[in-house]
Amino acid sequence: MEQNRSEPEITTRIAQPLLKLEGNSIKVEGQQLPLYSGSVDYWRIPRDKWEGVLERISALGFRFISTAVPWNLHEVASDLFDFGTTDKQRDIEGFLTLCREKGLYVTVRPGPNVNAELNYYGYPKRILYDPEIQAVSAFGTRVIIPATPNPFPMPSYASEKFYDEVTKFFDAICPIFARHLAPGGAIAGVQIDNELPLLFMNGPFSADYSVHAIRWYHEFLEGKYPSIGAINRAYRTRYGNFTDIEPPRALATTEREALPRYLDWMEFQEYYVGLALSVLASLLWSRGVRGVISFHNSRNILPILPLNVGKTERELDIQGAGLYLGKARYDEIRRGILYLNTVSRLPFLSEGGLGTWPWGPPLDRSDQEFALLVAIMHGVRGFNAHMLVERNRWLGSPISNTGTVDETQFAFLKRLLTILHEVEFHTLQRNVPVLLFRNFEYERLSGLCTSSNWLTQLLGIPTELLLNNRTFSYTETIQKAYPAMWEAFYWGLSRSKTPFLIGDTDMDRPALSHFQTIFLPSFDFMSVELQEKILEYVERGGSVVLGPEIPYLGTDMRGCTILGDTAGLQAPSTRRPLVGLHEPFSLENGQVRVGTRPAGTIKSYGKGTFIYLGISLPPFTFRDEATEAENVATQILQQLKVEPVGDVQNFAVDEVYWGTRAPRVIFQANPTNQPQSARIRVAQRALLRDLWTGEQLAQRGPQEIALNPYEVRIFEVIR
Amino acid sequence: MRRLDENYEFFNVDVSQWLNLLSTLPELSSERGILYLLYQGSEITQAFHSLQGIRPDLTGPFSSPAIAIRQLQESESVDAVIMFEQGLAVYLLAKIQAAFTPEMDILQYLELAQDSIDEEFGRRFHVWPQEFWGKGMFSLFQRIRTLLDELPPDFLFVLAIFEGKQIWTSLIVERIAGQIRRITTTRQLAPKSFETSEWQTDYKNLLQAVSQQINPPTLGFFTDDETLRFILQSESPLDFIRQARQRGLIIIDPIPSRIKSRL
Repeated sequence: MEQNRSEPEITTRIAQPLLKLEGNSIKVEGQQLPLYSGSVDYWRIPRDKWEGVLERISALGFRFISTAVPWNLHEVASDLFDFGTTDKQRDIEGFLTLCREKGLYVTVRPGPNVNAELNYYGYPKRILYDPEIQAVSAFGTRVIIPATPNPFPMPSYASEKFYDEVTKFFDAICPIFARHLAPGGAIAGVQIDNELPLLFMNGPFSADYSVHAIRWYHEFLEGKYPSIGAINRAYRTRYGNFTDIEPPRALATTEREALPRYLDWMEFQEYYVGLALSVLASLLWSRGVRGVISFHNSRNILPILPLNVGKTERELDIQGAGLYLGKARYDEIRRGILYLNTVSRLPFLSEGGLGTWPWGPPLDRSDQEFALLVAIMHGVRGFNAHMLVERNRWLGSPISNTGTVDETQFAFLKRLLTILHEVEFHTLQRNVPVLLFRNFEYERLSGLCTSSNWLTQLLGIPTELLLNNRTFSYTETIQKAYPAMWEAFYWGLSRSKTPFLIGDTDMDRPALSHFQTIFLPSFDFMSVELQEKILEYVERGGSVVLGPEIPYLGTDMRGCTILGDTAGLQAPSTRRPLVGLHEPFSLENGQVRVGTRPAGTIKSYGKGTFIYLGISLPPFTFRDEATEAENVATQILQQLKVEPVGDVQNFAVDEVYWGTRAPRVIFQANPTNQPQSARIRVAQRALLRDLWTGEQLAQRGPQEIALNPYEVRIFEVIR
Repeated sequence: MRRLDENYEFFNVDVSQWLNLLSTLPELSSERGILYLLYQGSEITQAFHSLQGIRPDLTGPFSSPAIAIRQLQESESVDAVIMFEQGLAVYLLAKIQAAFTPEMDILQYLELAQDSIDEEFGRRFHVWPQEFWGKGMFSLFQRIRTLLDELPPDFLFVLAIFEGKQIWTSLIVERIAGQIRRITTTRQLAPKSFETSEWQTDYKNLLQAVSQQINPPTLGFFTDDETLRFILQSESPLDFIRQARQRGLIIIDPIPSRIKSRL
């Protein structure tokens, strides 16, 4: 048993070479290793089986594993820790040593939240019932996480006492970590906390109203506004000090002029998540755990606010994402990966679900394998198979906790890793000319307008019902019109077979220059910064497709017409025409038309072009119905000379061509429940090798490929 | 009193069997659709049709919720109308968070949520036809609660549903001192695969294996997949089980005297 030491002896590693993310891989000890990893919890595997289990993992071709290091497992009494002295299952040091011997690098997950279907998610129960540590809801109650088997009060990540307690655990565990850091040791990465935005899962006003969080709220406002006068101008108020400002506890306005205060509350939640991760990271760094890759895990494949990937990656190296979706949710997987490709340093599945938790989504093996292949097809460059090794409160892993393997799953993973290494998938690039923007300014508004929570989700109440329909005196209900326009752009681009990625309005200006065209849903308001950023992008030669409104307000809801005035864009004063069969969309002579009516403009500005769409598109629920969106996108892309890639005759099949000058690896996916076929476009003399079977196709050049329902095929192009 | 042991084990669960078991759970689905309405005062502020999406044409004033749900169920030809007051979801969440106590397990917390919703039934939360609500997710918690209350505090329950010679799904649940301690499937008993030639006799091998490797079962329920479907669709499952058992389509062995007396 080891008493917690207040001044641990820490080996400083500053002078040694640090691990680096380079070329979509980790540079460690002279090697460039793509981050293919599997989860294994040492403390849930019989001690005498560790070696056998690790050997199975190595046999699959993995060089990394990930392991949770739960606080409440190692804290056997208040401030008293066991790391294997009394219970060999807790021998983390022995486990790390063994991993090193077996040639496996480890990413450790010391939490403080590890989840792992563990009681209290790994927090010691004693801290959760300390009122000084608890998060507070808008009603003044505790915020209860409905976890199995024990629901528990969520701690406030703004509480100083919470960090005092975390520090005691980190003081105890960090000296062990520090002794095992790579180079030289097994630890190559550290996951800091897990699914932190969980605290805000119950809607915009669910948390955190503790005194500590309100202090952070005031600090956030002081950082955002240069003076109390500036905030009074934005809020139309007369506060004397920042500390006088009360956070909103419900959406109690129908006036757009009152919205800046609410939108700031939404942005504050992003700040809260970023700051909490930053504090936790600094606690680890200052205790010698540095120089290795740091990351955090999102519960959604498409991280949603308040998890702002750009902001978390200012604090950590990688914001990873969890993938637990079935075959039928192909496009959700695709969207998440297309987004991570743009905004993350390394598009990484920190939990690529192989198996699931007992009460989780009912996914079978074919769901999980299809989902993983789809993620790779669209550009995931690293994944952590979670859980690679089965344990209590989990089912469906490829390796049991005693080391026996599921032969079918084992063969799938082994083949997959062989292919990825063979084609050096992590090094492949492709040309993507188009970017579809997520507009965070409207997503904050949408988030503000929902009253969905876990209880309504459990009851099956649709989230659409709980999105309020206040217009706030805008031209239309932006919280509903924005997702509809975004969907129209998404499906238009998808069906026209245009290679595109998804970005967000927080992206910095240099990052935008990689793209030829940006699609940007735009409504009544848009921040000054964003309007200026868009202008600069077009001035330098980019094209922006925007609409259905030209913004005339800033996010302070005061007049701001920089974009429209500078670029000479003007919204028509008449009602926007609806594109349809009898009112077709066309682009002619610098005019956007619906039928015979003018409905927007094409304007040159600087070296680039604006295409303003003052149109309405018919609502659709399924991709099959998005014909008008496809027609609009196709005409725009022809105008901008953006070429489609793949078989434009069959939009049901999706394709990704990897390779910049000519395709090197081609993925085709059939996300439908019907057999499909689609034509592969390659040079006449090119040969195709099916990477899954290893067989070379008999015919040279372009050819029709048959795909079974929910099948991904991978071909290497041989010249 | 907790229903779920803090250190419960969920281990060695066969994926296919587990998915088959989950497929038998009730869902709040319908062929003609469900109409969801949100109201404030005497005005419907939002309407969502599960098959058609948002229905702005259904918003506007109404006389009373009880009348509105009946009328709309008929005029829209939907299977059910679910209507609740704006702000109720947030109110209910605040209420159950305030009522939470540290001793509660997740089943008790969900029961608390269910009780809170039941209290609002007919006041701020309306469903028509009323019996439709009994088909949803919350009826599952009700059934679990009823079942756990019926059974003795210590038991070991073995369920196996056969499909031909294979086990289609199985479940082994052990409760000690009133708390569920173990949830597993026949995979726990590996390497024996329990392929049967005649499940009506071979089920005894399964009982024996459970006795030897875990504990002696106190309740065993065995049938085939077709009979299970009839049970799940039956309006009076207990009567159906009684008749099917007499015809040898269901075997309950061992059978506690309390259950035997009801069959």
